[in-house]
Amino acid sequence: MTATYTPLANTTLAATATQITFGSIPATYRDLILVVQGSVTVGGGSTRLLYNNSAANFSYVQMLGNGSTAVSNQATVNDFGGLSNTGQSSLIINIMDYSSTDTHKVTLGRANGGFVYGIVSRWANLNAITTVTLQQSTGSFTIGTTFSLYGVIS
Amino acid sequence: MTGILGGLIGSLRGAAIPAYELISTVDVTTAPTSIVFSSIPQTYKHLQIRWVAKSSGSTGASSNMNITINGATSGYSEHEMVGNGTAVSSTNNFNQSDITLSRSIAQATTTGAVSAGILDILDYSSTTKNKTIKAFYGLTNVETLVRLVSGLFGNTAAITNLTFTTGSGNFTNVTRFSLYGIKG
Repeated sequence: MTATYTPLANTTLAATATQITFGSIPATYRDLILVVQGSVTVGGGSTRLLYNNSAANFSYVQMLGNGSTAVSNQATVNDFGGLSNTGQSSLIINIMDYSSTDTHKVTLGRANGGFVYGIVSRWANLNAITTVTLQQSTGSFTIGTTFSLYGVIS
Repeated sequence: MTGILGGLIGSLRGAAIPAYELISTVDVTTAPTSIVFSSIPQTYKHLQIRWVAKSSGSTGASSNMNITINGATSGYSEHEMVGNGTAVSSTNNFNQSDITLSRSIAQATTTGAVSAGILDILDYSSTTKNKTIKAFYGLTNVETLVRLVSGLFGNTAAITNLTFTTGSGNFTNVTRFSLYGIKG
């Protein structure tokens, strides 16, 4: 059976960073899965994903629970939850059909960082995704935070 | 900016994780109303279906998708939680003829727009347990929806057939469904 779920890149931060980029992503897979485990230096922010260095033409909707209320909001960005500044937290992001050249790109994300999140976004762009950049909106990713990119074939 | 890595440099490059295997993919070319996975091998522990979908329906920005197992038309129940960009709500349905993933398929209102989802079926090959399903999906095509669904198929038969049917129109040719087996 052909190998299906392949690690493409993996890094652990040796210094704080506000931005991480995975570039030259091959078009040979169907979906990408990005797993982030770690924390940030300042709470209350979000992790924003750029595709091909673009922050334009995104729309997202999220729902989150904070232990007392559940809320939903939407915006024209590609934000995924908020990593915690008080302990370990995680993001699992599925970029579906990332190499397609005839569809927009839908991303499904689950996050926990003090809250529990479910997020869906759409990049209204027909280009294949070759670069994924994660930007922390407030503060930095902390030392020891890990970023793992996987390719899934179909 | 700091921390720019660039390129695909990693000691794990090219390594494979053999516990997660592709069983079958359907890339739509013939405008079907249903996607069927039949004769599912019983050699895995769990199943995962990953999909990107669009239908030709015209009932609005999205249509439902109905899931049946082994051709059964009874014994399904579900809970769902949905965020629409303004509020979060939850519903349930019991003893249904299928599991309905509401508003899960983008319709042909915006060129290029699709919906996507991931569905997991645990212990699908068990002959002593009812089957549990969890789904995570959504879209931001005209309407914005993010959904979590928990489903039950109240039947202990091993799953050998999965059918996904659009509630409106036909699946268009940008639709694909991929079935994966997870060993355990």
